[in-house]
Amino acid sequence: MNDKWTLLWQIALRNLRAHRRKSLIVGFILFLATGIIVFFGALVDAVDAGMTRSVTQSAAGHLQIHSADAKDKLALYGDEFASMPDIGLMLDFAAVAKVVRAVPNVKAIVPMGIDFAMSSQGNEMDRWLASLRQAVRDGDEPKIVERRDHVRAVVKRMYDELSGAKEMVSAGGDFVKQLADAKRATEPEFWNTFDADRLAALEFLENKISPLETHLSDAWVQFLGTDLDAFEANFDRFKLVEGTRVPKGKRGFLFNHGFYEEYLKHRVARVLDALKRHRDEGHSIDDDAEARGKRDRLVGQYRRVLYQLDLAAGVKLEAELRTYLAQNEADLPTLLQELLKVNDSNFDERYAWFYEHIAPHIELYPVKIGDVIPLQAYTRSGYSKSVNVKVYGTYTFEGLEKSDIGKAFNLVDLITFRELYALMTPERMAEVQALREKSGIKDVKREGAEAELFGGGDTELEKTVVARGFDEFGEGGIGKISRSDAEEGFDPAELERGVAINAAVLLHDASTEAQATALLAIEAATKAADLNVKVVGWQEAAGMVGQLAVVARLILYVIVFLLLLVAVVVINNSMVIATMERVKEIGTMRAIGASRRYIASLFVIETFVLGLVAGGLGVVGGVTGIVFWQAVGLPAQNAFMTFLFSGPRLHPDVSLTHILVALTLTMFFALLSTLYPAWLASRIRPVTAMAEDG
Amino acid sequence: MSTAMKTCLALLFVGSTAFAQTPPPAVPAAPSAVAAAPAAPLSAEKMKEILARIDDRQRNTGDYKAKAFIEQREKNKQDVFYEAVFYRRDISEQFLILFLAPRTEAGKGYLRIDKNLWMYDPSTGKWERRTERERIGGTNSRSQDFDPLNYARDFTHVYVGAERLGAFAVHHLKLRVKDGAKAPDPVIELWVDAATDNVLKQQDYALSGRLLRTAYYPKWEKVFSESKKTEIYYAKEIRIFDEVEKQNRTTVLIDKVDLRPLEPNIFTKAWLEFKSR
Repeated sequence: MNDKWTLLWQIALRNLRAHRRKSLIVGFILFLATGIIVFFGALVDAVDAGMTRSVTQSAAGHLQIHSADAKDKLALYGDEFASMPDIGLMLDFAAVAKVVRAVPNVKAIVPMGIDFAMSSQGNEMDRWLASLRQAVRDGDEPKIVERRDHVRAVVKRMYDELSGAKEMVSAGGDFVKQLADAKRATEPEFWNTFDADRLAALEFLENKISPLETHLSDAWVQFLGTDLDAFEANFDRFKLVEGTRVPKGKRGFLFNHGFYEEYLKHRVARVLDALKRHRDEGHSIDDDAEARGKRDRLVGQYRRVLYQLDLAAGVKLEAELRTYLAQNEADLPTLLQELLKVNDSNFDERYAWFYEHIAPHIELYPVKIGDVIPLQAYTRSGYSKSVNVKVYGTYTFEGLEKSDIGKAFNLVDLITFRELYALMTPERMAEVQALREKSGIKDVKREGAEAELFGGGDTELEKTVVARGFDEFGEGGIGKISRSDAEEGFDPAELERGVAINAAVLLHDASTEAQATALLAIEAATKAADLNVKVVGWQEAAGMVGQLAVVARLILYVIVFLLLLVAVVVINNSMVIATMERVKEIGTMRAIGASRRYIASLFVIETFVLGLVAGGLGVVGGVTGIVFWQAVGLPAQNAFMTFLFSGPRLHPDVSLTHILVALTLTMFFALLSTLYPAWLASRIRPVTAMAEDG
Repeated sequence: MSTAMKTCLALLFVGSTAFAQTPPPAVPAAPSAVAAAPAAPLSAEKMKEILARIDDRQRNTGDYKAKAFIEQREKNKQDVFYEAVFYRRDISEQFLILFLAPRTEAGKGYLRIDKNLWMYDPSTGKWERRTERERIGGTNSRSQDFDPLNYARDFTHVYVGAERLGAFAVHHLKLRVKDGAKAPDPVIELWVDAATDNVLKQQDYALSGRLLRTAYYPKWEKVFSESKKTEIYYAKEIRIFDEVEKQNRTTVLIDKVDLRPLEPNIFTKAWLEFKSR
C-alpha cells in the first residue's frame, strides 16, 4: 500500500518536472494569487485599522449614544445630503453617563453636539471700522488714534484707486456719488473734525466708504460642542497647535487648525499656501487647470493687501517692490498685481518674498488667538442666538492634518453650545402663545390661500384708519438685555447636567468583539434604567464615512474573488490540456492496473504540490512587499488617503492569519480547479491509449 | 321662452359685455370684488403711472412708524413670533426695525442706510453687514415687506395681462430690476387690483427663473399724513409663502401706525445701541 502511494508521489513529482510549461503557468497563477491575497489582505486590514483610528480617535469614539427618538440616523460627518441629521437630544446627560460608566470595559463617555454658526466678518474695511467703533465705545484713546490713522490711509488708497477707474467715472450715476463721498473722506477737514463727533464720522465711513470694497467674508463655522477637558483626555489624536487650552470652567473656542488656515486666513496668503502645497506635492501650476485658475484669480485679489496697508507700510512696500521687481515708475497697486503674477519659475521666490515683506504689514487672520468672536446660530427654538466666545487657540488631530475629516470640526465648550442650540422652554412657548393671541393672526395655509384671502368676504383694500400715536418703549424701555460675556465662567459640574445631543463612548479594549459586547451591555443597562437612548457602533455613527471601511473590504473581496475565478479557469484549462496530452500515459497506467481513484489522486497531488510550492513563494513575495512598505511607509497622495491611512503614510503589518488565509484560499481553489481534469483523466480507458498509439 | 324674456336676456348680455369693456373707475366707491370680469389691458404709460402711484402713496414725506407682528411657521420647527416696531424716513430712504418681543429677542434690530443693511444683536454688541435678501429674524419676510420697493424707479416693466385673482380684476405685470438698484430678487411679478391700484400679490424670482416666494396683500389701509397732506397706504396684512420650502409661511400684521416725527438721529447705530442697552 505504502509503495503504491510512494510511487504516486514520485509520478506526480516527475510529471511536474516533465510538464514544465504547464507547471510554470499554473504555479505562476498560484504564486500571484497567494501573493496578492497576502499583500492586499494586510493592506486592507491596515487601511481598515487606519480608518478606524481616524474616526474613533477624532470625535466618534468606539460607540455613540443618542436619543432613541431620533428622526434621522446619526451621521457625525454629515449625511448624503450634506446636512446635519435630526437625532433628537438627551435631556439628562448625567443620568445616561452614570449608567454607561458602570458598564464593564467603558473607559469614558464624552458629551457632544454638532451645529453650525455664522461668523460674519464683513469686508476688510468693515473689520477695521468695527474695531475703531469698539475702541470709541471703550474710550481707548491710543487704539482710536492707531485705528483712525490706519482707516485714513486705507481710505486714501481706495480713493486713489477708484478715481483712476475712468470708464466708471464717465459712466456717471452712483459711482460718481460714491467717488465724491470717498473724496470727502480723504480731505483734511473730515479727519480734523473726526474727534468732534466720532460716531457720526464712523456712520459715514461705514455706510458710504466701506461698501466701496466689495469683498465680504462671511463664514459658516461647523462646531462640536463638548466637555473640552474630557475631549482632550480621551481623543488622543487631539493636539493643540497654537494658543492655549480653554481653562477649566471657562467658555472658549478652539479653531481647527486646518479650517483656520484654509478658510479664515487672508485670501491672498491662503491661495499662495494652496499653490505651494500643490507644488510641494510635485505638481506644476501651469499643468493643472485648478491651480492655474487659482493663480489667475490671485492677481485680482491685490486690493485685499492694498486696503490693509497703513501709510508707512505702503510707502515702504512700494519702495521695496520697485527694487524687487525692477519697476521704478509703477505705483503700489500695479506693483502688487505684478508680484502676484506667479508661475512655476518664480513661485518659490515670490512666496518667500510675500511672507517676508508683506505678511508683517497685513492681518493674516481676521480672527486672532485671544480675540472674542460673535457666533450666531438659529436655535431649535426657531430664534437666532448670538454668543460672544473667546478664541483660545487652534488644534488638530495628529496625523490627520491634511484629511478633510481631520478638519471637520471646530471645538467649543458645551455650555456655549447649549446656548446656541437653545430649546424652546415652556415659559417662552407661553410668551409666544400670548403674543399670537394679542395679534389675532389666523393661520392661512398655502392650499386655497387665494380663495380664502381674495374671495371678497374678508378682503379690505381701502380701509381708512386714523394714525394713533404709540410709545413702543412704555415706561420700562425694552427691558433688560442679557449680554453675552466671553469671560463668564461656569461650574464644571454643569457640563454633566443638562442637554447633550450625542455622546462618544470610549472603551479600554477596542477589539471588534469587545465593541460588540459593550454595545449590547450598554443597550441593556440603559434600557433597564429606562433612558430611551440608542447605541450605535462608530461605523454607523460616522455615516457615509463609516461605510467606507465596508466598501474598501468589499472591493478587496471582489478583487480576490475575480482573481481566484481567473485562477480556477486557467488552472482548469491547463490541467485539461495536460490531461489530453497524457492520454497515452494514463491509458497505460490504467492498463497495468491503476484504478480510476489512483489516476485522479495523481492529478490532485500534482496540484497540491504545485500549490504548496507556488503558494509558499507567493507568501514570501506578499510578505516581502508588506515588509518593504512597512519600513518605507505607503505615502498618502491626497486628503482622502490621509484619512484612510490615518496619517501621511501607511505602515501595513502582516500576520499569520493573512498567510494562512491566503494559502488556504489558494489551495482550495487550486484543488477545486483540478477536480474536473482529475475526473476526466480517471475516465480514460486503456483502449483509448492504445487507439491513440495506433 | 317669451319674447320679453329673450329681450331681457339679450339686454343683460349686451350690458355685461359693455361693462366688461369699460375701464374700471380709478377710485371705486366699493371694493373691486364686484368687478368680476378681467380688467382692460394697460398701456406702457398707464402701467408706469400706476406703479408710480403705488410707490408714491406708500411713502410719507415725513416719518413713519408702525408696530407689527410677524409670525413664521416652518415644517418640523417651532413657530416663531415677533412683535417689532419699524421706522422709516422715506425722503432719505432710511429704515430701522427694532424687535420688542419675545423677551429674548428684544433689542435686536436691523438698520438700513442707503444700500447698507446692518443687523445688531445687543447680547454681543456687534453689528453685521447683511444683504437685501436677509430673512428678517429668520422668517420669510425681508426688508421690502416693511420698506416697500420702488417699483417705478428701480424696475423695468412688462404688461403680462388682465387677469382675475379670486373675486378681483387685476393687472398682471412683470418687473425686472435695473442695474445698481436695490432689490432682493432680480425679477418680480405683480398682480395689481384694477380698482384700487393696490398690489394684491407679488412673486419673486431668481435670475434662473425659479420662483422663490409668493406674497399676498389682502388688506390695505390708508392713513392721513399731516406732512404729506394726503393719505398714505400700507399693507395691513402680508401673507408670505416660501416657494422653495413649500411648508414655510410667514404672516406680517401691522397693528398700529404713527406718523409723528421721529427723533432726528434715530437711523444711526448709536441710537439703536442706546435703546438696546
